[in-house]
Amino acid sequence: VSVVEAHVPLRIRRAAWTHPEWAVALVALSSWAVLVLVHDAGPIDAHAAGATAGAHVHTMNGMLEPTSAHPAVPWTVRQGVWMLMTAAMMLPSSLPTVRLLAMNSLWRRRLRAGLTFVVALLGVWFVFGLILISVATAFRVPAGNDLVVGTVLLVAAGWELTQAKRRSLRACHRTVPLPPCGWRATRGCARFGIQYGLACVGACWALMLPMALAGAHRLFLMLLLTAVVVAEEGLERGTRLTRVAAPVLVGATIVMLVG
Amino acid sequence: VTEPYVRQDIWTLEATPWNSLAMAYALAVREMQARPASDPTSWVYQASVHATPDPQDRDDWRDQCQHNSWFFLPWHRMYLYWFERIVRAIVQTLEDVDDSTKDTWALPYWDYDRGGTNALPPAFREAQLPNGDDNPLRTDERNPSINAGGGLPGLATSAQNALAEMSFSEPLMAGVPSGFGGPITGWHHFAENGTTTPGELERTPHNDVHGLVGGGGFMSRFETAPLDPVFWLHHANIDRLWALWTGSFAGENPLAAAWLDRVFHFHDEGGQDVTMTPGDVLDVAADLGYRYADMPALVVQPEAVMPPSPPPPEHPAELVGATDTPLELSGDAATVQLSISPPSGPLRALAAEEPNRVYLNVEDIEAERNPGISYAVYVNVPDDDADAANDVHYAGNVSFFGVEQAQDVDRDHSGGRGSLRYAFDISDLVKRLMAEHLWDPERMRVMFVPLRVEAPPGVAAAEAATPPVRVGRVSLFYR
Repeated sequence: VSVVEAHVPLRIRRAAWTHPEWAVALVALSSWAVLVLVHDAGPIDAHAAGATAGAHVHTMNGMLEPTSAHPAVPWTVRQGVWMLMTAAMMLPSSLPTVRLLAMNSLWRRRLRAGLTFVVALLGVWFVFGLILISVATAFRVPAGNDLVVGTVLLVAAGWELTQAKRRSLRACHRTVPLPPCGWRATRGCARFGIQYGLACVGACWALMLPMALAGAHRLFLMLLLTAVVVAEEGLERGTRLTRVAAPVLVGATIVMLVG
Repeated sequence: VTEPYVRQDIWTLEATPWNSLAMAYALAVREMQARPASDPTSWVYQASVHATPDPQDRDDWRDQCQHNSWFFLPWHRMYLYWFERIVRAIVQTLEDVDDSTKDTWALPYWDYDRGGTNALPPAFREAQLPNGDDNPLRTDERNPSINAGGGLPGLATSAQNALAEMSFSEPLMAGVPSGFGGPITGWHHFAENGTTTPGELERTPHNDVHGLVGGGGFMSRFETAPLDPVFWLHHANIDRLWALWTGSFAGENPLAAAWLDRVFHFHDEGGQDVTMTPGDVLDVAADLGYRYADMPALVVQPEAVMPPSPPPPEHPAELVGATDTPLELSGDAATVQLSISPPSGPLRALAAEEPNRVYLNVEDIEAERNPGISYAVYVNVPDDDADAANDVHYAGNVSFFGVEQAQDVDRDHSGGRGSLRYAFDISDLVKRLMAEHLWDPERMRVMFVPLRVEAPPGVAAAEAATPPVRVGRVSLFYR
């Protein structure tokens, strides 16, 4: 037992024994915290956002539109914001899988196994985001436009009703054999993360489209869509909830456009 | 007070295949088979209650079978109860059935573990009924050896390990066996968690008998198993073993509302919707009006049957060793070796000298289809031990009922988890091996030995190729 661990009360250590996914939960929470804080920040100078000198003043809120073609927002910031949103929205539903992976790893590798899985999972979303943002930017899809966001929400609602969506949701539960140690163990965790990530993108790509374009409604949409993802992946017979999710997304579109 | 119906051991009835009870069953099955699939009392519909060939056909009644779950035993008890009522109602309308049988007909059971009863009951093997009609109890969608009178292997039919288990259910925890009746799950059993394993009784004899009788045919698969008329007798035996566990073995069913109050839908003999919960079916005589012919009363104190052992610790089990490459099983014996690391988690933190429990896991089991055989799993069989079936090293069986559905992403039932998993409590076995100096943490060996249906009397064993099965990992957990 390490010196640090020996000073942690047994009650807390027991909780960590049972919930080795705590580190990934912390990553998700931190991502939410950053996004909420930045969302609430007032107008700032472009320099603070890392933009080039001479750019005009804009808001942090505006900066958070990953597809914004605004010249003041560099590519790295857009992609970074996309990854923050992905971590905040996709990691909560992955926690049971991270727990499963950690519990099936050697004790000393539990943390490493979970983080390797998450890096691989987020890597798949990174590539998807790269393609999505590049296409949206190239076609000058306007960010923060409620009509556009509403349209892609309807696309997401339609995707909810497809067989492909349900298949992808179920594929999120697929496991892989995990070698216990060495590079094979790391490769196994990475393979698990990529496999899970591909199923996750298959299930949730349409739900993440609005996030690339959302303006003032971003936090509202993030909360709603995260709840949908967690319910579909985590609840008993979650695939049946896709039929509920579709009208909920249509309702959200109406609220956004009317309200 | 009405006398309960008596479910009889089919092997204790008249030696000729066509005793009145089997004959009435055959005629009722034929009637059900003639009914349209849309009729809830038809043969095809009743099979689809278990699982449907087309995943789109599921509803509140169909595609409902519960496996790898603490609902396994109560759901199948309900399923059999309503099926039995449908058959009895038909029997009571049949002209060729005598009045006594009409009044008393109850589903018989097949106790394959009584000595000399491990072959398929004769009425299920006959090609024809006494009047020359095709026998509806016979299907060619079975292992040819079992249809020819071959016997099930003893290790596949024994409920000894299951009946010795004291806990009905365990919460889902990686590496930890799930108890007598299966793990605590919701409806969505296969997909809930990659660690779900069947309960002891579901594993053996239930899963083994499905695979071995089916041989790749009806009984091997969720969606076709109830199409074989012997399915219902097999499950009556599993239901009897549950009643035996709660009776003679003083096993205790769960008390949780999540288990007791779970609602399941069925159809009665009139085709009307009915609902039931596990709490409604705990006492078969009082709640459901039947009993089993062979149900010994409690003859010994439970402590004498199962010496009380301290409950397992609450902390999670810790992986201490695993294979790092998959193993393919194609019908031959195979051995894998793994080395065990010293525990570095709770056992170390609690300064435990020895693990309280040792669990062997066989994980990520995949196959295109059920190979129709089981594999007996042994630990540290000495190299010079010529007897592969040395019970001293026996851990349990691995079989493959449900392996196709586990991979089916079109079904909620399987959830697309992709594989099966088995967990065995080998604590006593390891203690014994340690005492005999046969336990080397650097070199633990796990051997898989195929279990097949014995060749029928006077028939040479068939040498058919066995479809392969892939075992992703063999692992050891300490707790």
